[in-house]
Amino acid sequence: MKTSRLVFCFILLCSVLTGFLLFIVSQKVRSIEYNIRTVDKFVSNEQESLRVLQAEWYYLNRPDRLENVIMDTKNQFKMTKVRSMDGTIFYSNPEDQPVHDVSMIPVPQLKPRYVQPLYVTHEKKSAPKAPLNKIIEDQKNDKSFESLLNGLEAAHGE
Amino acid sequence: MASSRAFNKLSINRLSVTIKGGRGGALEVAHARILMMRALFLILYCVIGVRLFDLMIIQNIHLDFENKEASEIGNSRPAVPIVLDTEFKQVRADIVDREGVLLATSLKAASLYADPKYILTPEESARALSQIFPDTPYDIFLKKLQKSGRFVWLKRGITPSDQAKILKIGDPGLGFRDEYKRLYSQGELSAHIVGYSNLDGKGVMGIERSFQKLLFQNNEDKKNTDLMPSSSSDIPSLRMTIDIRFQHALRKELIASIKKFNAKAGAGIILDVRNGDVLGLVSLPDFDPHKPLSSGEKAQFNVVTQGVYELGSVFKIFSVAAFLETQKNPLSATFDAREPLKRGRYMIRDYHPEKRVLTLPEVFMVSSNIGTALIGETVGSEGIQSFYKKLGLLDAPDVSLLEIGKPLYPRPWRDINTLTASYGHGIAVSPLQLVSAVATIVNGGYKVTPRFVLPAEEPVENQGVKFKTQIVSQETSDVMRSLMRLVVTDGTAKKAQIEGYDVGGKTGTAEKPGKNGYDRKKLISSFVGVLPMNDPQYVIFVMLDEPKGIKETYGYATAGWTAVPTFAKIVKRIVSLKAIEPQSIEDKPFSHKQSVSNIRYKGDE
Repeated sequence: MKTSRLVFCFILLCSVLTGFLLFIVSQKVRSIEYNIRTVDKFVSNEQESLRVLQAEWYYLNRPDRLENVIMDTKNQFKMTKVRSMDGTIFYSNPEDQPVHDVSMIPVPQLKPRYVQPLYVTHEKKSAPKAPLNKIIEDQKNDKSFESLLNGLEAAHGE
Repeated sequence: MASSRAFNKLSINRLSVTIKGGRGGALEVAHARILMMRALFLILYCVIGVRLFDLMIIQNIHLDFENKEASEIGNSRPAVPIVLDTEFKQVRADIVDREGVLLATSLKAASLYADPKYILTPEESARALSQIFPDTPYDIFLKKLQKSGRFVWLKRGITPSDQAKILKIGDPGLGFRDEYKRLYSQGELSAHIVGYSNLDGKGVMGIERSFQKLLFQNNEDKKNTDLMPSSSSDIPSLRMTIDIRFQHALRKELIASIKKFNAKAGAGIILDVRNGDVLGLVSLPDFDPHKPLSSGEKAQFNVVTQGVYELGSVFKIFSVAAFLETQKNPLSATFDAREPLKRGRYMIRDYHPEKRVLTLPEVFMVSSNIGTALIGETVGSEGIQSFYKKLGLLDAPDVSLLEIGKPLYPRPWRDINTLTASYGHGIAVSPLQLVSAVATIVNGGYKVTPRFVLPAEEPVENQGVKFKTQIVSQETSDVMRSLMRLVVTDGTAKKAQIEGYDVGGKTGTAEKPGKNGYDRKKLISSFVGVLPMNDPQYVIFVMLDEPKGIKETYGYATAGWTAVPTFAKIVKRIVSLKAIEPQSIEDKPFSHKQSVSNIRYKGDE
């Protein structure tokens, strides 16, 4: 008797538990289905937006429109030329490009006098006999700028 | 006594035990059943309770969330029904050009309908709607809103801003349905070849009509065909052979020429001689595919495929080719063009009479009608007819477009018809047929069938001639190319000369037939040219209907003054687009004179 009650209780518990689990599972399935629907809808809307953008892109890039835009604006922009690191000149307008092979002909460089050199001369200069700081210190007592200059001149001149 | 008492006691005890046991068992069963019933009811109540909780609390939260999400996704627009896969599969497929440029697509748009039963105030709603849509008068809206049925379309494919205005009317009888509206991104540029479809998604013209079933069927089925690319794209697209850049070049120059020469109409076609791809097809006047009826019915007529015309001297290409194919020593033949040719009651004259005996290249070069009529006479009626038939000039072309014109030619075919047909009179064909036949002549003699749609997996750039059926010999093809080049260098098409490019072709100026015979003032000026002659790739045909002479052309409206310069301008655009480099002297350009003299025919000594 006790056993049958236990079995009955067990079955009852199992049924309740199974029902509960099934409910949980069904809720999860519903939730996932809802998520899928939401994502599908989102994807669909995005695809639709892409289609609209694509249509707009091709509509705005019609050859006749592009040609008109170019004709309207071509005089507003000045063509430029660009010098690369190795000295090659590239023209933004291909018609300006020289007919000859540019790579075979040395590109005219800036004349030397226009180039600002880092080192003007390599002549050897005699170093001052006394350290510069010492001369400056010596002349400090004089307090005149002329004497300072004279001192410096004397130091270099020797 | 004692024993009987004992027996009675025992029997009573037994009885009592029996009675007791029976009562206990029944009670237990009853208790168990009650317990079970309680448990069942408890479970039932629990299930009902949980279900109520689910319905009232959990799903309510989900619905709130769903509405919120919908409004967020829809950007504050009214909640749109979820687009399921099944719905998505019904979208009409896109049409693209050979480079993938979009020509036609389907975009979602709301359509307005009414349920007259729920319309509160038809007059007010009709008034408000006529203000939103000024092109539809008030009475039409009112009539629709007062109908007895439950559904009536009011406006299809409306804009989101109009939809918002309608929502503000607030009439519960007005509703929206999402539909797909066809958009033609290139507009008039590809109107005749792509065509258009009506509001119900049915193709009315062009490729839209020809491939109606394929464009509208289930997406999965579309991918199974050879014509739809099996890419990862959800909506497959139909790839056409046209190149929108070629199409633009052709249309732009034709419009300019029509304007310049005050022509009635114009047409042009560019065909790849190697594979029959129609790269450009323009018929003018054209129309806006979004408003096809606004330009009139005439604008919808496809001159290139539907129209059949007597194209005049361009037909000399075929009669001369027939002569080359059928005669021995054809290049040494001469033709007496000193006097007009009289056959029966017919007199054949030259437009520019040379009044001398002409060689075959000269007949072609100066476009002598007399010489060509004699060529036709030499070949014979049967020979000319069978040759024209082999080239496909006597049958409607077998192409994917449905707007096709059938050629007109004399039935029965008399000998005089052979003479006139040899220089392009008395026989009317469509420009598409003519171009296909010229492509056949110049590509080595292989019969060209024009096509408008590319197979899905076929590469855009084809190499070599695709066709297998050779109907003209290679020698004839070479000589014809030389003769066509001669027309440009020394003949009637000198204005087609472009420095660095070997172009060739043939002019054709035909008088239009009227009520009282041919009208000398109404001309069809055409030119069919080939680029480049040394390795033919493109056949370009230009036609102007009734061009008028101008000061610049000294009053002439013939092909050499009108169609030929148009052709030259188109070629200049095309060589830039395809980066066809001009040939330098070192490249040994195609020499027509050398070529003609070097070719030896079967039977030549």
